[in-house]
Amino acid sequence: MQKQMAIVGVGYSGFSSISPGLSYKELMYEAAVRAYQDAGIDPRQDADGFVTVAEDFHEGTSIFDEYVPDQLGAVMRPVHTVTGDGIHGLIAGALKILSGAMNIVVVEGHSKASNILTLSQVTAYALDPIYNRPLGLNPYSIAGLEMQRFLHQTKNTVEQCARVVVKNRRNALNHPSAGHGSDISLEDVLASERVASPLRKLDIAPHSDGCVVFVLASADAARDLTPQPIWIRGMGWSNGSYSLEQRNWAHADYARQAAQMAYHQAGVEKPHDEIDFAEIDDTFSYKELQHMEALELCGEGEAGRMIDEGATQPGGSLPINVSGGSLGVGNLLEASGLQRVLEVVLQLRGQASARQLKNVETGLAFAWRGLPTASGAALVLSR
Amino acid sequence: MPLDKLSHPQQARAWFDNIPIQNQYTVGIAGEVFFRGLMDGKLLAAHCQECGRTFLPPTLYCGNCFSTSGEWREIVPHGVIDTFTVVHLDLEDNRLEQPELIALVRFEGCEGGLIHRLGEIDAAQVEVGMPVEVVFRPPQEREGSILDIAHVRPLTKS
Ligand SMILES: [Zn+2]
Repeated sequence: MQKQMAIVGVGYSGFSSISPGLSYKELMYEAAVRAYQDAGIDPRQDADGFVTVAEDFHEGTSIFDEYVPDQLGAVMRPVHTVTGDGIHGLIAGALKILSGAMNIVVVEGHSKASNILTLSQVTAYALDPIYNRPLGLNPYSIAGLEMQRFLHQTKNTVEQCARVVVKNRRNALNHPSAGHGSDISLEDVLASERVASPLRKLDIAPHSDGCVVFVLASADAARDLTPQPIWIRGMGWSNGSYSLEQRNWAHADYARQAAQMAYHQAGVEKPHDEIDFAEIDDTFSYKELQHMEALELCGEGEAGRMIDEGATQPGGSLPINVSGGSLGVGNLLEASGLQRVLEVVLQLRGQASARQLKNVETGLAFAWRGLPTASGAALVLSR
Repeated sequence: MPLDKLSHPQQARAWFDNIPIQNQYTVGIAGEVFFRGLMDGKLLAAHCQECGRTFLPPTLYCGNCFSTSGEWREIVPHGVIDTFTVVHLDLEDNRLEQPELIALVRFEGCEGGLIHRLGEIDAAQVEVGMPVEVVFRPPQEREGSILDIAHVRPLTKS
């Protein structure tokens, strides 16, 4: 796709491990006010529609979509809520523009993870109730099973996974809003508590609270609103089987398919050469490596070598998760993908302060929907 | 944006709530076949006559070609460990006194498989690719659930 729609406004609040001073509505309001200010729009006059992403069980409220209009300036306007990652919601918003139905669309996702007092129970409730749930397993067992199979088949190692954690936690030190930056060592990761072998505690992205809001616009509206639109060049998404038994545990097929769809639209033929940097799912350390391979940023079994050689460091040939990713910023539940898009936008605008990459034209954002899903969504963006 | 934010952590109030959630889950046509099979000490899979694939757990429909499966096949309850993990946390994220050994087992000629506890082996001895067999509970203890399988264990040579 060539310059048919763009991101013209970004706003966010967070990202910290707790946010006791603000309700989720106030987190949304803060992020929305900033996004509208950034885009130079009045949502009551200018926004044609709104898309939000949320899961009722994460919000602790049934029929949660009813609770989103007020704090976004969207009362008595066209709103719909998507269950999925934030990038699924962003794509739904972009399609409203691509269809010609709307010119300016607002997209929102948030996390108030610190308010969920029994998150593992909630995640376990997403497992098949008849075939899997009776075993009563902590859902991290699924990540443990997947990590074991991925490492076995690709010959990547637990040390290489730990290196991802070190990189992303350190990257987050250059991100003032990241909730979990730290200067940790490989040994710290490898010595952290066992959770579901080979997965250890520091392989898991800790949660953060926060909200991300985007303003999307058609090409004409974008050029009127900003001298610096960030163009949506390709979008893709894919949903694997819900069934743990039917799934491919070594390779992230959903990521490969989502990326191929997005690359095709964007005219990207050699992702490794044409993508300047990427913000991709790292909910678990091994997921960054698994997703690199599925997104064709390297060949099968080569992701570990890339991290060993420093290729995915901020100064490397293909920087990955310069923001700190989920490991460094924090797992933002449905907003995780929007945080990845946010970083791509800030980098392409040249607004990434201490972590700004040089000479970047095209970036990739990829989100996995998290445990226990096999679903993901990809976005290719360029200046 | 608000001009007056909370200035002290103790001002941050929160309300607590919870609800009891209870559901029943209909096992359906394929589920009836599978769980009656378990009660007889058999593993039954669904065979798609259209594309020739066999699915465990069985489904009424084929995930590959979307036709009705329509045929049930008994699977020899001997498989191999596709992947495994030792879980150290319970559902409340408390550390388990006795970590649990879990495996995904694949069966020959079959798509899918079985996720269950792995028993009668030390965690350090487990390997991907290891042959295992399904151990059913004694017939009088079976009640038509996935827990009619007690666990899987290393294949005993017979
Ligand atoms: Zn079929």
